[in-house]
Amino acid sequence: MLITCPHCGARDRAEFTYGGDASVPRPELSDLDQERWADYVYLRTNPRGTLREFWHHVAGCRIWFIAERDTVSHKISATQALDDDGSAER
Amino acid sequence: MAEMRYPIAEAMETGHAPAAGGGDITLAEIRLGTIVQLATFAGRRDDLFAALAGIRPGLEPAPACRGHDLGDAALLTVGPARWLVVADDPDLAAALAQAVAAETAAVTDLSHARAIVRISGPGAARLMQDAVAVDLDPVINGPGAVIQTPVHHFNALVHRRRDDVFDVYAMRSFAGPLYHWATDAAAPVGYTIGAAAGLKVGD
Repeated sequence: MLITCPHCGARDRAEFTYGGDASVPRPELSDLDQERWADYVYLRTNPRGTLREFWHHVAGCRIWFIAERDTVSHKISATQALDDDGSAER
Repeated sequence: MAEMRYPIAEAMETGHAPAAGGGDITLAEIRLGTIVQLATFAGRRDDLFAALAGIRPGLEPAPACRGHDLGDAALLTVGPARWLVVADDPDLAAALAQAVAAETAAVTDLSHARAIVRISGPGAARLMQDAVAVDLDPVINGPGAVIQTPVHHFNALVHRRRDDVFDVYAMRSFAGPLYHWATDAAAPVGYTIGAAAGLKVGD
């Protein structure tokens, strides 16, 4: 299985680690509501279909990026850098 | 300046050549004076390269996963807004720290932190292709390619200096695995241990 790193291009899946659901909004740091933080830290919906996820190219360029993965087929339809402008250089 | 100690200097006995094969491969420890990581802050890329031009003309930005090679020094693009400068000159690390302003980039001296083995010769590309899950066809990753990928379960940086010359960088604590992997991988076709050298590639 290949994953396209926004910086390095298509690389073996073994070079990457999964970083979790990228669609869950984090509460403001000033938010002291324990229930909202517990939801953010522990609750996930496990959807069937496309999910936005964080991935880390840990054995390559070490950037974090977002991948859109189908949870049924594992097909990754898009990847996007987390840079300001998404380019390889800034 | 503290004396540099190289992690596989004792293991790599120059001239050692196992009997098997025709000696298609030469393994040599590369001893560099400078390995520095430069990581620019947002919007400061041009400032960095203006500073570099002042102390080592020719160290220009290369595209992603490529290196700009001057022979005795090279600038390797290793990530977005992140480069490695590698050079024979041991004074270049201090010069970089001096020339690059603190608000332009983080300058991290890694000169003591890497072990490097050069794998060269007619059998080098075949050996490397068996080691990495990245296409080493010269059209895709020919000379100048900078590939960060696992090699035998440790993370490495592979700089393809020529068609048949590969410099493999590993974290210093993986010097042993790097040396043992290289000698094991080269054993079936035969290899010679070359003299420890700097960055320059002989013609």
